[in-house]
Amino acid sequence: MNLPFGKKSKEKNINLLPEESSEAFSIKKDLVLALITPFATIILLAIVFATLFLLEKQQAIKNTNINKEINEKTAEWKKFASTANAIKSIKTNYDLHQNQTDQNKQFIESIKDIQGTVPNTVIISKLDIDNTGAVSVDGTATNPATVYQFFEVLKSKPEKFENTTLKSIGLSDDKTGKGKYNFSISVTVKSK
Amino acid sequence: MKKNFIKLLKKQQLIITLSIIFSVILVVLLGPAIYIRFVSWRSIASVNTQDLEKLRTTTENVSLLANINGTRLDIYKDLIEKMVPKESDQLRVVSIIDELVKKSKVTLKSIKVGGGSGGAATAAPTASGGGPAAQPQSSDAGESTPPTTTTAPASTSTTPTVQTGGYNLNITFEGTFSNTLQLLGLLENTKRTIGVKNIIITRGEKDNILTITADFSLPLSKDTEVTSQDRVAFTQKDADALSTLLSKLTIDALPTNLPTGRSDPFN
Repeated sequence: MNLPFGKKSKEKNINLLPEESSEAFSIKKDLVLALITPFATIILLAIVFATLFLLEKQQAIKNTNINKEINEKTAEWKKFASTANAIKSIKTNYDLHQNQTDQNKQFIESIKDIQGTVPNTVIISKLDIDNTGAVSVDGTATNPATVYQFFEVLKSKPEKFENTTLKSIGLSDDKTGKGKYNFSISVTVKSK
Repeated sequence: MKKNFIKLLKKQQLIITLSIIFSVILVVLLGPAIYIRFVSWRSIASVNTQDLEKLRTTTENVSLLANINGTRLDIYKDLIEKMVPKESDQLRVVSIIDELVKKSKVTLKSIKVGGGSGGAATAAPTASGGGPAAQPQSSDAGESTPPTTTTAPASTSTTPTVQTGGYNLNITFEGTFSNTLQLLGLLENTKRTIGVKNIIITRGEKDNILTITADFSLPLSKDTEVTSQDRVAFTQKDADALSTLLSKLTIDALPTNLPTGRSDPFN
């Protein structure tokens, strides 16, 4: 019958051994167990420690070999370093050029977009446009309704224009006796 | 003494408890040393994983670079160096703008180009108005029409226009609306990267001629540092794109090759 550690059976077993011998055997058994426990612990810890130590050494050796190979490959790469630099430079500057070209195209498109919204009788006297899409349009018209149309056309195309603002509008005499409406509108052309 | 010892040995529970305590103490004492070994092992293993990846990348990069056609690369390198040079190329740019102006049939009124020292060199066209006359001075000599000046600016002329990684160019010209669009469109054919920053188109009060003031930016190439870990490949797609660009960029300017040693350079 299995019993908890150190407990003795209270059952009356048929024991052929004399009671004294049985007790001595039990003492010996417990003593051996008591000695084996720390010893086994030491052995186990030593095995774990040694295993880890060996694994670490193995990785260290591997690391040395890898570094050696890396150094060899790096030395080999250095022979092509100028080619690599040239390629990198070509690609970077090509991208820069393409980016700039795209921006210029966008710039031209912005001017054309503005052109496409100007009513026939409106005359632009000044167009100021920058690469952020900010546009300032100054112009004249004989009929304020055409300026109104221009403004509304800009506002009606939110996919192309935003922040459409009438900065000023006023009537002036153009020396021929006819009044002219001077206006100034600011708008931002959205980037595509 | 012996009796006491035997007595003690008979206290089995005590002995077993002590042995367990001793085992626990052993684990507690040696545990950190084992943990340190474990951490160290995992750390080296992790470094090795990274190094192996590094080795793989370097090996791959070496094989990629070894297969590159050097001749074609030199052609593209020359192209790019002309497109985005490392140093200010004001005379060349002024000459390119001269070409652009001629092609788009506008009349150049003024040109200001940022200098590398922080100032701005200026060039004004001849009074005839027939076209721009800014020329690369270093090469203009002999019996040709005296070029217009390209001088260092006076202290009051313009603010420094040099930017980090590039410089600016400002031109004023006269022409029509379509000419202006044509000039801007031709920028993509110049063998020099030029970006438009700002344009002001003003209609003249009397003659209705448009005066256009344009600000351009001219980027300069930056040094690029490549390491063995950077994947630098040159694909067929890249080569095709550069070949297309090579055929597209047709507007360029070179110094003239006129005879030098004019007998009276003042007349």
